[in-house]
Amino acid sequence: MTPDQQRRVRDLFEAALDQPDADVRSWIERAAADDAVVRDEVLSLVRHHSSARPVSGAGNR
Amino acid sequence: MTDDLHAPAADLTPLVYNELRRLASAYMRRERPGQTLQATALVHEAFIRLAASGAPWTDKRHFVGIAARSMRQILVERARARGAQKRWAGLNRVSMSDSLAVAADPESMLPALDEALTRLEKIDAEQARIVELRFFAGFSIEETADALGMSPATLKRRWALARAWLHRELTEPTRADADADSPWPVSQYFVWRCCARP
Repeated sequence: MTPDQQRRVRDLFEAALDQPDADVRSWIERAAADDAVVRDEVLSLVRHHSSARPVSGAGNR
Repeated sequence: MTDDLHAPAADLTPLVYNELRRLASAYMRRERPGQTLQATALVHEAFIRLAASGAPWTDKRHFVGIAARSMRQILVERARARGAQKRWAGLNRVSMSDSLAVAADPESMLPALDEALTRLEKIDAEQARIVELRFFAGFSIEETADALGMSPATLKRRWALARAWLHRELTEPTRADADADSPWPVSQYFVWRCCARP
């Protein structure tokens, strides 16, 4: 990925955090419709963001 | 010129590193097995001690950046010295639902996290700084945002991005050459340590 694509991934990921969960996938597909590499990277990171969310009761000993 | 009065950042690194290492060693001699190193307290103590002895920096921001990087180095070296596996096979035995048990052996994954962080650094150095401050120095969102001169709202988003990136790196075997059969415990530990913080 080029630095420009990396920056775009970052910006799209951060903007995706504001989208409702149900719409986030289609939002990313629209926002990065012109660049499949960027689109797939953002989709992948958003998926991992969801699985890295706090598990209730796990933290704050 | 002020340049003569203030040592460049590179010259301060050994000073900060050595002070933190000394404090950490003293702390570790007293610690009980399984106890977590209080990184944030050590960083604050080092700052007060070095400031009292006339350390040549002008602002705390400068200090905490160096301190967070030093804590990363100290904690990873300590994990390696204690024989933490490069791969975290040792965590295989821990149930994925038992997050406290996983957290009792957090060192096992530090070398792998350190290597992933070095890869992240090449893509986006700022994200690596964020992880050092949040994860290794234990700074809050507000303290980290202040240290990097960004708003807490921006910091939160960038921290989320760094976490997602590292989570993928540490859990997807094709990316991090991890053991294919042990993605869950690390993920669980990472969730506990990085993501469950306010």
